Amino acid sequence: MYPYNLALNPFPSAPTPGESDTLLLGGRRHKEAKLAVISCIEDLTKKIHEDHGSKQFRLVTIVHDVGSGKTHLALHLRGCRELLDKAIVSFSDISQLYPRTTKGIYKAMIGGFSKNYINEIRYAILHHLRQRAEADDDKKARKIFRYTMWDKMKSTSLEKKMQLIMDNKTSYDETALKETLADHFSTLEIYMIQSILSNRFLSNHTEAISLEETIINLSVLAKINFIFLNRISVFELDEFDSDGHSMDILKALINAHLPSTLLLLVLTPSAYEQIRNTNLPLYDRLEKANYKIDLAGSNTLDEISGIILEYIDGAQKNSPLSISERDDLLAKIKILYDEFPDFRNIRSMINVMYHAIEYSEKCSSGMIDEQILDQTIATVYPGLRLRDNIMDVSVSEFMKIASESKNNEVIKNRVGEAVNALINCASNNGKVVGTSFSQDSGKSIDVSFVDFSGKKTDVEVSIDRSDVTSFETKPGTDIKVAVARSATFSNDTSMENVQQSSYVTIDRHKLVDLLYFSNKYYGNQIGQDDIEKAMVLGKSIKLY
Amino acid sequence: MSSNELVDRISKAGEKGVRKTELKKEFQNSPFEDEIGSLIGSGDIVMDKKGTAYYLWRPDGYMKYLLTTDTKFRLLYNKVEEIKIQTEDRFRNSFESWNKSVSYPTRIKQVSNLDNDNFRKEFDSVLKKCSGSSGWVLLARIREEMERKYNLRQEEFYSLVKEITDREYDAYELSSGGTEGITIRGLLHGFVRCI
Repeated sequence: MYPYNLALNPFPSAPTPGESDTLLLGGRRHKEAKLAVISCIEDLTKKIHEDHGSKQFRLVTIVHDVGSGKTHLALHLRGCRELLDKAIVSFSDISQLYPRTTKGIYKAMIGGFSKNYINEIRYAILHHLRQRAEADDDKKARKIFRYTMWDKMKSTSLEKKMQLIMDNKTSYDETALKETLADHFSTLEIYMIQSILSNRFLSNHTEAISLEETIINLSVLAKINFIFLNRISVFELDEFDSDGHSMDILKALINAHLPSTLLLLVLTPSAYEQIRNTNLPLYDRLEKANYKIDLAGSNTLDEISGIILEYIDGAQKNSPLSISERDDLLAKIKILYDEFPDFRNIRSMINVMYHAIEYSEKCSSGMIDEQILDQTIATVYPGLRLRDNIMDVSVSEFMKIASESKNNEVIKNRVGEAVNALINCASNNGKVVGTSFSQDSGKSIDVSFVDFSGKKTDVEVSIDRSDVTSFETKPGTDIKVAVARSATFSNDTSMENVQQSSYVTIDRHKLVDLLYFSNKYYGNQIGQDDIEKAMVLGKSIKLY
Repeated sequence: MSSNELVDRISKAGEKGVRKTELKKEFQNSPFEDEIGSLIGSGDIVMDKKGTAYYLWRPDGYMKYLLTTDTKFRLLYNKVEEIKIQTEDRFRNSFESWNKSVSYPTRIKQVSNLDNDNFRKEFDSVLKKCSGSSGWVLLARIREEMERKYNLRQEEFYSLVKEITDREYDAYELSSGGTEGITIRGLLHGFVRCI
């Protein structure tokens, strides 16, 4: 049984998203980007209807970094319910094409529609012809279905004949089709319709095709889609780059103004810059794109958190996460995000979650706890360490200490104890002579010690973060610990009093280090390695 | 007779000096010996033997007298002067090189000031200026712009950019690519934009 009562692991585990992974789309920014594309399609449809089928074309670009969810969004759009009655979407990954010939790109574009597309368009065309046959008692149209007197006598319906063609159990009459459509369609359009009905649509292009033919064929296909399905054709070109031939084809496609078509380009800022440097006319056209889908902030914490929750919620609609489970999971995601820059992108975080869910299932854990995340990271990312900590704090310890340190008063006392433990440890290891003591002085912890040089040091530890009520792990919000020193030096001839005061800022890593060390010290779990690191830790906060 | 009159009289004698017995005759009605003893003690005048007689000089006059009459002293004096010139040259050179070296910390200070107070403002300003319709800007372009204005070194620039993008990760976004930038997850990130 998977954690959080999940029947399956909802997270994909692949370096790039597959079709089945993209049924869900999470995160505010990605949802907004999706709405922007839908809005563009609706606007295009409206304009075509207003202008009675005029050639309307739109160019949309998505320019963002690798791993930001561009491909996920593009694939999601191909299958999303909101577009089912509005658009026919073709997705092509240009990076899979080599060499980038005109034929290769054309084949990828017409082969990029969903699996149902051919059936849908075949059905739509046949349905249209059947309606004509039924409505006008059009003999030519009936002939297409090979509908005879004998069929009429047997009460075989046109619908049944149509279904036989759909099921490839019988063929249609090509001559009748040409004669029927000749009034409203060009030869090329009729040829394309024939290809579709004969299931030769995808296999018909074995020979080389010129750029001109490519443009004409795509125009014809877009027109057929709009006439028979009343939908816009969307061609998504993913991983578009500055390959010379690809750029020439793209420029031609944009210049051609394919009718009732939306061309959606997905590319990285790097590719965009290369296009700027190598093909200025194309860059100019891309700059003038009708819509620029902005995925800014797609790798922010709230976006990644939203996506993670979307996957879990999507997989268990009947028993959603409780508030405490949700808060706990979000706190862990936040720590992973803050402490490991490697996880500050959607793909990596989803991968961690995939493995954490699997590991939880193996351990029969009802939730992803600190130890599971620790083990997951150790297994999946063996080279990853908490980089800013002096002590050897594991991810699970870090998370545990962070979750325990939600109260100012508790932190203050525990820091005081930790400082005391550090001094005692140093004293026991020859660093400090004399005894140390700690005394709770209300707002602060005072610790005194005398070192080898006879310097007596009073350390006052106070926590200056009255506005913070919970453990904050965002970088930059350090905890300020004031270490005020008053030292007295003595020698044979004179007595000199020196007053020193300094303020040491203890960031969250040092705070965790201190509390981790304190836990180990008072739990009698200190090893030689820990002592050496503790000395460094003491030095880093200017205790010695 | 005052001490000043006595000193003026000795000064007028220049490098030749004045014989003590002569001077004594001129200043008969005064405590001559006491005055001479006091002026010698304070270093205002110098007394030395010339032949069998005692002469008195002002120190500069006595120096000139020695340079013309005492070869050993003249050689020693010349050597000391030579050393003095060499020392002064060395000092001047050291001072100049020190000046050059202090110009570097001054530049660092300027960078440091920029870092503390204005780096982010300047960075934002250049980012905004260079930003195209997609929002993405090559970090190298920002660096070149800031380098011209602030004489920032490349490594200083990227160190500061790393610092602010790490700290303000909800304000900036980095993207992989480019020929220079910050390495994250083993990828060179050479593009930046504001969120």
